[in-house]
Amino acid sequence: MKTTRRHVLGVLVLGSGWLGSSAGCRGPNGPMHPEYRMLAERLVRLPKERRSLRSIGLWYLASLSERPAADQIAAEWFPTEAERRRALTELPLRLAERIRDRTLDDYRHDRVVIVRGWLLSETEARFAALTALLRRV
Amino acid sequence: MLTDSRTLRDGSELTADVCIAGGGAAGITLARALGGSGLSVLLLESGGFLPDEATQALYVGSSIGQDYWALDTSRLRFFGGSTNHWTGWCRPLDPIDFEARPGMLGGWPVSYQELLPYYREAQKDCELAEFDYRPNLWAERYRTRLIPLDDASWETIAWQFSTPTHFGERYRQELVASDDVQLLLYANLTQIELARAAGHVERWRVRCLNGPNFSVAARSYVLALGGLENPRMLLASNGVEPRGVGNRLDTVGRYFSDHPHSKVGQILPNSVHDLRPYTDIYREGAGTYVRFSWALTEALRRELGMPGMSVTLDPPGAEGYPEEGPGVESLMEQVGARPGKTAWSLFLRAEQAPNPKSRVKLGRSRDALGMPRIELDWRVPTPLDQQVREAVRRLALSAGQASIGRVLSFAHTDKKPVDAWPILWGGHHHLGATRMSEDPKYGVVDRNCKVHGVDNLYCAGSSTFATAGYANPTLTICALARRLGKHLLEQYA
Repeated sequence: MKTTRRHVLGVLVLGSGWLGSSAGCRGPNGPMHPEYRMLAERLVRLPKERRSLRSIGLWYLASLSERPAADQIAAEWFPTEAERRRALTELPLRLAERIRDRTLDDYRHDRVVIVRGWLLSETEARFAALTALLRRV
Repeated sequence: MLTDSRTLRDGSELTADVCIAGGGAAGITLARALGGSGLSVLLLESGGFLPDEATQALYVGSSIGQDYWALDTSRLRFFGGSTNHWTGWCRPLDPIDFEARPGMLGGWPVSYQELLPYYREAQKDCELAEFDYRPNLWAERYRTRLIPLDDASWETIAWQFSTPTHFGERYRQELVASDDVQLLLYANLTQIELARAAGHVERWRVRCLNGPNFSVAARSYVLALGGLENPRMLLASNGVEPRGVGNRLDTVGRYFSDHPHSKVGQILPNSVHDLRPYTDIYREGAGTYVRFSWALTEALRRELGMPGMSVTLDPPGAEGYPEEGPGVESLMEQVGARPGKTAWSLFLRAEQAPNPKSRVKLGRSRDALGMPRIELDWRVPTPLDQQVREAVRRLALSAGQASIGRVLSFAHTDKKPVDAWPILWGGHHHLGATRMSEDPKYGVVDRNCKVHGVDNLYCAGSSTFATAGYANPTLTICALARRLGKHLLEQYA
């Protein structure tokens, strides 16, 4: 097959779309990049007190029709390879700041969910869900 | 002048320029506004200077709608009226409250600006500090920092608290010493007698409990009996007009409202911010206080067509600390907050849109004077449920954005205390049952508080409120009484 310039550009455009989407994190035909699991475990270690968070996470998960996996949540937050790599290596304080920024952004843009009457940002609720999904970490 | 009506001769008739029935906030303020003008004023008070059981029992009635306070404990029937037990919360209505908002039946026929000079006078009647309700002004004075909640949805507001002024005690000497005002104690208005042509009051029939009957004849008559008694008196006075005075279009008693009060949630605050401005009260002068709370912004009310709502932070009640509190604290710590370990109760005061099915009616039973007792059918319009949910959701967004705390909404969960939203109760504010409207189809009194179709009969008090905002009514009652006083003085100038 002859490779044209147009063909190459088309692949690049499609590829960049895949890289930028959370679905793309799963890989085109296979499982999600294994580093997302590592990243999820890293995120779960951020809070000092996890037991009480877990119950919030469980209530939140129970309210969903489709239960997300831990690596999927991490992939939603850090969808590109560059973001994933940076999140895996940067200081916990910086990582926490990213979660905080996402949380504040949720409140600014009306992305709240209801967990047992608590109006929480979507990021907070999914963060709590991570602790429930990765109990043994 | 002071007269004990029980000493009057049976069948006698007193005359005056203006006769006012009811010695509460509205009646006393109006009598004071007219005092010294040269007009002769009769002020009829059902009770004496102290409460008595038999007079108070005249207030017994029944409630057939939304749960409501017992009608004989919700108000007081002796000189000073319900100012003898009010808590002193004061704040004018907001300018938007006067506007023709959606669902508010055209709003008020008078504007905030028109009422403003009378609010300044009412401020003195209630013995408050200067007429200024800007929260930042008071915060600066008390060297306190308000929480930066203010956004497009909710903002900080200031309340002032009266001592609270007991109008009967406070203004008794002034009225007794007045040459123009004659205060008649133990005088119960029992009938408004219309001329045959129905558009003019000829006299009032007055009775003492176990005492003489007499009548009063005046050029103008003002009902200042209270938010429930004003419609009761109009409905019961059916000698000429079978449906009652001013009730040809069946409006008297309709549109009754109160300020629905309810626990709508809790807030787990970030202790980085000092909540004390919202939980403390600040002493201002001789016994008056200032307090801060939050209210829906004008912008949000316009955008979503919301009624007025305010929320105060109250100490947690029986609900205590929420079960999910530790988990929410942990989430808050994650974003750099320092949870305060106390979940404050969010206490709502809301506005109720005028509802024609919410009514003061006459029941079958009668009181010791032979007057039909009240049957109250309080009905809160259903959109309030959705509106409260949205308001609390917006509060949660605002609190989250400003990193003030996290909100637990009782409007969004079934797991809540038994006394929480949608359980609501009234604030003992009896509003709107002779509402003000230039259109007789939607109201009983016109912009001057004159009863439609009757040339010399007026209503004063909270029954004339066209809409009620979220603010407690006493300051507005006094402002309207002052304005009515000016109108009557102009009439007779």
